[in-house]
Amino acid sequence: MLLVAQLRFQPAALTTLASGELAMLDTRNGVAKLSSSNAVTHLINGFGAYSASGFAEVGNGEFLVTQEMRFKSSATLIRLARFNTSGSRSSEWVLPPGGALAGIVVDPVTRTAYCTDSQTNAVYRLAIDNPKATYAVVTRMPEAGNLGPIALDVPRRRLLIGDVQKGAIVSVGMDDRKIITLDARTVAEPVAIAADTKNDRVFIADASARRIWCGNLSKWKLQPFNVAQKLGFPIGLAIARDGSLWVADAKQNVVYRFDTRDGRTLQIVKP
Amino acid sequence: MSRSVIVAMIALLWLPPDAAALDLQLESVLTAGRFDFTRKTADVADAPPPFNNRLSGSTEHYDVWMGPDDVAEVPLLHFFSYSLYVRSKASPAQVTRFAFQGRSIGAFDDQMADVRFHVIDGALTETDTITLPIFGFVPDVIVSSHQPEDANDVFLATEHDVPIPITNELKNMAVTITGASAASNDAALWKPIEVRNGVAPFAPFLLRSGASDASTLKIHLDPRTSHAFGTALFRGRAKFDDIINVTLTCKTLGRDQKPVTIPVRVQFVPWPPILLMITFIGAIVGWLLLLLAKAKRESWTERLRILGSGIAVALLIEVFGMAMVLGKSELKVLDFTLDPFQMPTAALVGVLAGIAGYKSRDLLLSISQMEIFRLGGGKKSDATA
Repeated sequence: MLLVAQLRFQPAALTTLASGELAMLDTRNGVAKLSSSNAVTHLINGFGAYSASGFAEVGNGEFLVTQEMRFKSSATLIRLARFNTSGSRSSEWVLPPGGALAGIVVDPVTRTAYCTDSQTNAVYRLAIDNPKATYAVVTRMPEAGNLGPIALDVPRRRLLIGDVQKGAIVSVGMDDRKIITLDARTVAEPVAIAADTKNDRVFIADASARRIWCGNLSKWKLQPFNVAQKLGFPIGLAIARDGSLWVADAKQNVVYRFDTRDGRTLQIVKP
Repeated sequence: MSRSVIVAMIALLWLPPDAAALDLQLESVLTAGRFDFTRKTADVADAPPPFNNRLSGSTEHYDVWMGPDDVAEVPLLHFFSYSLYVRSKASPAQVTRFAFQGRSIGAFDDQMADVRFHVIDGALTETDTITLPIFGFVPDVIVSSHQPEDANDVFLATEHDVPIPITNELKNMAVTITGASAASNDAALWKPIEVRNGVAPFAPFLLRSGASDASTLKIHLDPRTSHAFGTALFRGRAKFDDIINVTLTCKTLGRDQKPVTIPVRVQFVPWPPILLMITFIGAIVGWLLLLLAKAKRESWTERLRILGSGIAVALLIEVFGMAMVLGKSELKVLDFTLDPFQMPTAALVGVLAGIAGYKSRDLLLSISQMEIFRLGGGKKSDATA
């Protein structure tokens, strides 16, 4: 039986909380979570004049959100903001002008955030427990189009990064900073990456192709992940605690949960 | 190998190039900034939108078009997603979908632009233009409203429609007003406020590029007179009695719906003490008319007494009428419902009471002789008599 919950906003990015619940980011209206009892609770009520482009749970119910505020003069305020459990902003790290934060992922062991910059195509590292920390450049990829989503592959000590414009997936070593192009042909528009290190799997949302790709993290061979629902514009992915896959569809304004064994629809969350 | 298989193979060789061989390229658009297109995918379109003349272009052998829902903002990654469809005029049933990523560089207004495209089919390349929406780096103010410097006048006890003039600030893109609502800063002042299209209930409507519309959108105001009276009476130095926030939901191609709030200042007219003054002046006018027609023979003392009576009765009737309306009753004269909170009624009451000066005097006398005024004041009452 499908469980259908009601949402009030447009989910884009997704993440699974330490509690096992699904958290959803609306770029303007904040963050909400879907509890195990299928109730939707707002955790952050809007971002004011800012819009968000990525988020990650710090681990204790707090969130990091990459945000920007654009002006007609082409100036842009970019920051990484930390929101506490009551949904209030507790600290922020402002990015110097010229960049635009896109994806974010947190290494819970080292308490380090990794962010992609879609303007300068840099990857930054930031110590999240130090409010005065500055962005340290992990690497720059001048040949890239626009870096976007980022995921963590802890067992292999690497970051998985999607180039939204050129349609490539690259890995960046967390220790040696080595850049390896994993795929430059299969995925046209990688807008979200979900790494399931427990089951050695990776899922990639290909928005313009309206499909999900899945593959093996160690061998990296991608193939279509056929799901029971026809997707309109898959934009967000998250691995559920039971190994199933959450997919946010921006065109249909729906979040699906699919069985990763056969693509069967397990749950639908509708606005 | 059977003969039918061989025929099929030969037929395959002679088939026109398949969907994957076809390509579509869009050139960048230069405006105040730049808008770049990157082609992402090409696949066979299973359910293409119907061909339309608005978002389309044609070459000698191909039609290219897009549906109004085939462009969407992806704020998460700062780009716009487009789906364009191409069909050969020779075989229109076969449609190929091309997905594009659009990115803006620099700030400019969202607009419809002529985009140069190339359909490439093997060695054949055909070129033309298609009108597509392109988007600036920053979402603009879509709709504005020029509000008058002075607050809009609303009568204290009469329903009233206040027009909301609106202007589409996008000079080259239409906007649809998909929803409208209104909320007062002081809800106690009004019965439920409606937003209307003229006299009809609100319905979505299109505002063309750069167009202004001063008459379609209205808010229907129906004051709760007692609250309105109190607010108007003690307005103080403010130049308005209330602000009604009209929130319009605006939608343009490719962008999410966006709320636009228009604050509309209103003031109740006329100010209640002004009404009493008008009644007072009306009574003097009526008295002058009476002098001309009938009271010439009276002494000046009597004339002034008639004037005083006329003024007093006029003010009494006006105040009584106001009290009736505040008590949700109506003031009727010869089957006509009069609003004592409007200046013509106040003036009419004054003039009539002034003209009927003798009657006013008699009325006052009869009132003063009423038992209620005798209690503890008999001597005064006798003197008046």
